[in-house]
Amino acid sequence: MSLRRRLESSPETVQEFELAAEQKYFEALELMASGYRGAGIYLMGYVAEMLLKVAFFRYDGARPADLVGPRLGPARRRGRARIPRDVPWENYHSLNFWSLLLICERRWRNDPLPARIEARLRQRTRRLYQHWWVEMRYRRDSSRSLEVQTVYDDATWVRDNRVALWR
Amino acid sequence: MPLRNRRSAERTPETSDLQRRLVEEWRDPSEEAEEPVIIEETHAENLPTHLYVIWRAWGDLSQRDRSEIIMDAYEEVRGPDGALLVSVAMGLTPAEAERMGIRYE
Repeated sequence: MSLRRRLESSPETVQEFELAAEQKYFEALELMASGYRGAGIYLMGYVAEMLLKVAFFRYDGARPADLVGPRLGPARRRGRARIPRDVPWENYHSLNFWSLLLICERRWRNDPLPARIEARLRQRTRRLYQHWWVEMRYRRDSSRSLEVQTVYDDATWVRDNRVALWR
Repeated sequence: MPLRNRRSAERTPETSDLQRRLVEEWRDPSEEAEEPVIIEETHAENLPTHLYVIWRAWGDLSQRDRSEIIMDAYEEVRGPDGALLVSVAMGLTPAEAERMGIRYE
């Protein structure tokens, strides 16, 4: 069976996202440490994206074994209603979209994140957004070492605080 | 400035047709038709609603596309405020529903 078939045979669940994020975090780290800046940044951005999605879905009541796909449509409607209209959803890949959706949903439910965590989340994801977007794969790499460090720091913050985001 | 309409997600005539048929079924459920089977699971007022649509017509569409179509149809029927209460919009073929243990008879 081909790799694609093998991967597609297991459903995209919340838990699968968590495990994939963890695995890809270390792969991204290896790439960055070996000097493959562009590939490292690209993979690290996905880590942040997956963790932010997981945080929102867990906060919204999803259990680890729940499928991700059926939660995407409702999440986008929620985003349209709750977050500023000038924040594009980028076909579910925007880090700003997921970060703001989580912040705004929690506020809307009178359960905001602790101020310090919320401020950091805004700051970190805004900065990640300035370095990573899903379409960057079509561009040659021209990243600087400081930018690699920034992406690593910010994605690591999201990873370290992933549970605090939804609890 | 000219006004341009832009759909939020890519749509084909086939997916638009699925949405139209779903809206029709939601508005005027047919006793004769076997499908689509629509399940609205609400546990209490103002708690998230789970929507399941069991339908052979989903075919190879991804879960994400099915979710979008269900939400577009639901929004058309229940309005934007109703759509905000939904947390799960799952489209399943009968075989998938059986595998997941979702009973609807």
